[in-house]
Amino acid sequence: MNRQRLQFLLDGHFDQRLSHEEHAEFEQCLLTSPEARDEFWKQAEFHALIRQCAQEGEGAREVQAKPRFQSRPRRSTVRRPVAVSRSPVTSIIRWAALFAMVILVVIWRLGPTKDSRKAVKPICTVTHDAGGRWAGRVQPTVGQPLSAGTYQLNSGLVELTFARGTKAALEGPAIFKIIDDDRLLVSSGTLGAHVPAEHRGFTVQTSAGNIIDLGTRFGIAASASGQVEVDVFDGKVEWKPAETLEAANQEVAGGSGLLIDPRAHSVSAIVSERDRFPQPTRTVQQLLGGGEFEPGTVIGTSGISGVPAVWGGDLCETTAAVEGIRPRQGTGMLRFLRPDSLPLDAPARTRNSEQFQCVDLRPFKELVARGAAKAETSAWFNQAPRGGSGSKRVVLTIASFRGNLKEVGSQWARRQETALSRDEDVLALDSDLTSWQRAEAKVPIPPDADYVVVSIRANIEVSPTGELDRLTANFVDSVSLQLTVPPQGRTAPRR
Amino acid sequence: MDVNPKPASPESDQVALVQRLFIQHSPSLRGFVLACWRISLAVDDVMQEAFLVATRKANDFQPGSNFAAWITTIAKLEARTFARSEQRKTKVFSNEVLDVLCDSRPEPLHDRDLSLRHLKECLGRLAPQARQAVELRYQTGQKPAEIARHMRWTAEAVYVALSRARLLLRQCVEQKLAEEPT
Repeated sequence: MNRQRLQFLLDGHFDQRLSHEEHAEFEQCLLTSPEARDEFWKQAEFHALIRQCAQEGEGAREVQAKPRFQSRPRRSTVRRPVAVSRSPVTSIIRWAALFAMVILVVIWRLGPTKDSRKAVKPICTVTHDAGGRWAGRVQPTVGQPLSAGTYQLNSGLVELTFARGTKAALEGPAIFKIIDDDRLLVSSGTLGAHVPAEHRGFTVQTSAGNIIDLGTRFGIAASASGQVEVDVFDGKVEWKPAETLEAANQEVAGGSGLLIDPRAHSVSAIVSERDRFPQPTRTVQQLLGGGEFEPGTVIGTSGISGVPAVWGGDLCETTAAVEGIRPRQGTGMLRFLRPDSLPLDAPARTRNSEQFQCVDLRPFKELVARGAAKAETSAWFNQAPRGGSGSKRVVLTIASFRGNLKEVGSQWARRQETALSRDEDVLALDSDLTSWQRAEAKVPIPPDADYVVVSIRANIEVSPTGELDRLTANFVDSVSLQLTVPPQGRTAPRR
Repeated sequence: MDVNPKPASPESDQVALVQRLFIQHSPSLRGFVLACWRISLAVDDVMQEAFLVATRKANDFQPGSNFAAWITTIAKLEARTFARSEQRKTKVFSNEVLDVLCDSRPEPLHDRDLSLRHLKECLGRLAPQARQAVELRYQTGQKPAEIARHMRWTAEAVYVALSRARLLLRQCVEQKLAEEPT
């Protein structure tokens, strides 16, 4: 066999492209030719050398925080230290390192089971998966913790949540490496991140340098050619350029961005475009005003009002610990007094004592525009039954509406027809004064919704003569409402 | 490099010797496993098992004998065991070819450290695209078809680029080794 043909077969073997016939020819060649076997081993050794070189190169870069190489997640690696000098000092260091490695592998060997050997510290968790397809055998799913390592997402959208609250949405194809709690390396692909204030300093490494969060929401697109785009949507980030760029550190504020091409040594200022990046979960918390019912909270008693963030409804009062019940949180809670706004000793005609609060959604139009947003409310109820015959039923309701807040009264009264979405949770309260019971309700928010209404309600027993049951006291505390938008893929192409 | 140092008589010393030799040989041994089985994602498992078996059988190894041949036999058996447990096709060679290959496996390169150092320099001489293809192939273990998608090349272009890159790298390393003072 001529040398050229042998090289073709060797290349084909190592790149896994031989046809069935070519493979048979290759096997026959290896069986019959000592020279072919010799060449096989030489080239196998050289492949191993390139592999070792590439992987050690990655390790060195990681130490220098100048990422470039990527690798698959590795369960264990036994590597030989690279000798760069033959001096006595470095020789001692080499052997000391070798000894340390032997100790490490002995410790590893003593592990009780194969599975436990592979247990490593989780860095973040998959919190959303929309069609994520990963390279390799492991297909992470929602709820699965991920440890440090390199991952290749071939397609789909996934969200990773780090221990300190940072959320990163990645859209495939993407190759990224989870380095530790505070660092993520993106070799290629698009990422959208939200870093809460408590995780300030979270860093995304790219071939163009490090992007350090200064409390913000931003997107990064890294192409295989090395070009990196950084778009800042809120807050600001600091870009620390790779040394090869010989550029100064630069802060990038919300609404702006940078297009960096390390090969061309060019950096261009751009206007950030949110639609070009996947977006992680966005949550707006505590949309209600005075949900803790601390002393001084305004409690309207003139029925449902169209004033956002203010409670309004029937006669209720904020109170400190009373009737053997302590506030669930803080020093105050709300007590339902009457099913209307009349004086306490007046006869009553209805049974439901109810308070409402409206939340104007218009400031959040951008969030709800795609129709994926959800509003979630919860409330904690308690009851002091001192032998009375009072109802044990309480209700938490949420509904979304389109229209003017001034019309909330009529909209609410006809909510079965007018509400765009509606949900309620009915609780039967126990007689334990020390236990608060949680009710929760959740509705999707259509893009055309203008406001939501949250209602808390307790049934008060009324005698046939209109006399209120004064032996039963109903309380509510810690009422909250949050708006959540799940991760979304980009809707515009990359630049 | 001295691959078979002086004998160590106590049992623990023998285990330490085998483990040290395993570490020295592991890059080359990985290369052997990857050259003969399609188990790139499971090569660490095979290496771990080979390490455990080698440690258990440390006293069977005769200091001064050919460690490469000894550990190759162990790795071959472990890789075969793994391959048998796999549903998909991981076996590349027939047992006959595998045995002939293992019997002819030479000692690993004695100047491996030096070769590695030269290779790092030689990689820097590759054209950026060729270098990227090499990195994707050898660091992330991507197949040429995946590299082609990643780089928006044809698969054929990737095969050619990898083949040329390997040839250039080999020639570069050999030239540098030849220039080394003896």
